[in-house]
Amino acid sequence: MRSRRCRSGQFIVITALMIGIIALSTAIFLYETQVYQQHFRYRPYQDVTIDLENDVKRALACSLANATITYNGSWVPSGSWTSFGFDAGEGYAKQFLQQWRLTVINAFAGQGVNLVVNNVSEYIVNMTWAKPDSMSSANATLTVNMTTLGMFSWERNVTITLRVAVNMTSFKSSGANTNLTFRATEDIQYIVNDLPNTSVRLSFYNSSTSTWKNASVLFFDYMGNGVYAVTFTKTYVSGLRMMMWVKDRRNILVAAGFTLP
Amino acid sequence: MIEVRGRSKGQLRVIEAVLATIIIFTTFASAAYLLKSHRTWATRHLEELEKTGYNALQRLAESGGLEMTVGDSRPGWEVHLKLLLETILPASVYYNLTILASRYQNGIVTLEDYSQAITNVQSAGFINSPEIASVTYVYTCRNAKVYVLVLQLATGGEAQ
Repeated sequence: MRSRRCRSGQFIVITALMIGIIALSTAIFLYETQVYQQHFRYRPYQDVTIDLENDVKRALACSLANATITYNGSWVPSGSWTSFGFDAGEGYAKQFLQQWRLTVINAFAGQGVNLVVNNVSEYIVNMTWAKPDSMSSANATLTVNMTTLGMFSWERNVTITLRVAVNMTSFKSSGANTNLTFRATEDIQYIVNDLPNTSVRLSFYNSSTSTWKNASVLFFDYMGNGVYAVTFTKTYVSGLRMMMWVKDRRNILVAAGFTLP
Repeated sequence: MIEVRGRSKGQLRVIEAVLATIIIFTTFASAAYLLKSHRTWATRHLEELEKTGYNALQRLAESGGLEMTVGDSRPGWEVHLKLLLETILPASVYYNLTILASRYQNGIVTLEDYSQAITNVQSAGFINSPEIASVTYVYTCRNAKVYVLVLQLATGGEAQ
């Protein structure tokens, strides 16, 4: 009789201990799930796409810089303002972007990157020059698929611009010199505040000899909000045709053309 | 006599209960130890290294550091780039930066070594590391050259 009681007591103690241990283990397990933060596996697609978006901007700026220099080199200095050759610059831009595209595909070969930059038929660069408000621009649409990272049809439209707007009411005669102001903006909305003195060049059309002559820049200053003041060595003559070339830090060129009011 | 027997039996039961408890606890502890993923810290660490690598290259690109070193390629540019990297990266991280230049010919792009690896570890230093993160970055310079930067990061190995 005693032996039975002892055995049942033992069973109760063991059961109680087991329940205690199970409860304690469950509590510890639950505690751990709170302490150790659960998170998704990190995939670097965001970092890769940020790199690609930034670098396609750099590649486009580079294409545009070379295209504008080629375009300007094709300018025939005559009375006409429209004697530029467009195709050479566009061809260079397309070839450079193709190189960039193939480089990216090679670099990320292990991640199954498929990259498309524009349609072949679309123009990449565009120069609207020889006007008081002139602009050089490049535009491309980038479509990226990264199969191994599980990212499809990521698309960005990238535009690079340099715009120069001559203030046609700012011309002032100063003895044998003339003053003007212009405003420079880039990438559609940002002001340009870092043009160096050497970034501006001016020419005027001499109708008696039918040639373009350079005018020296005497004074160049940044006025704020993207506005620059220029003083050049040419007596103010109403109706005088002028060209002004502006090159920014990315080597993108714009040639504004205007007639003195 | 009966009382003595009863006492010794009771003591035996207590000892058995204690033993049972120890056995059960050991079993649970062992199970918990075996079920726990011991590579979690390493995986997380690898992810952190990857993020650090992307951030470092992004900062170098945005601050103009890559343009002034890789882009200009003036004599001693590798030393300057190494200094910049060591300023940005944590001191405890070992790095190995390989720069490849893109070459375009007849419609085909090839990636060629542009310089010797820029690193703060010996060649076998990475082998001792449990985790190595590798980050690839594309950079286009103003001189119309495209480079691919491969940055490897680790927190083990031997420093020079």
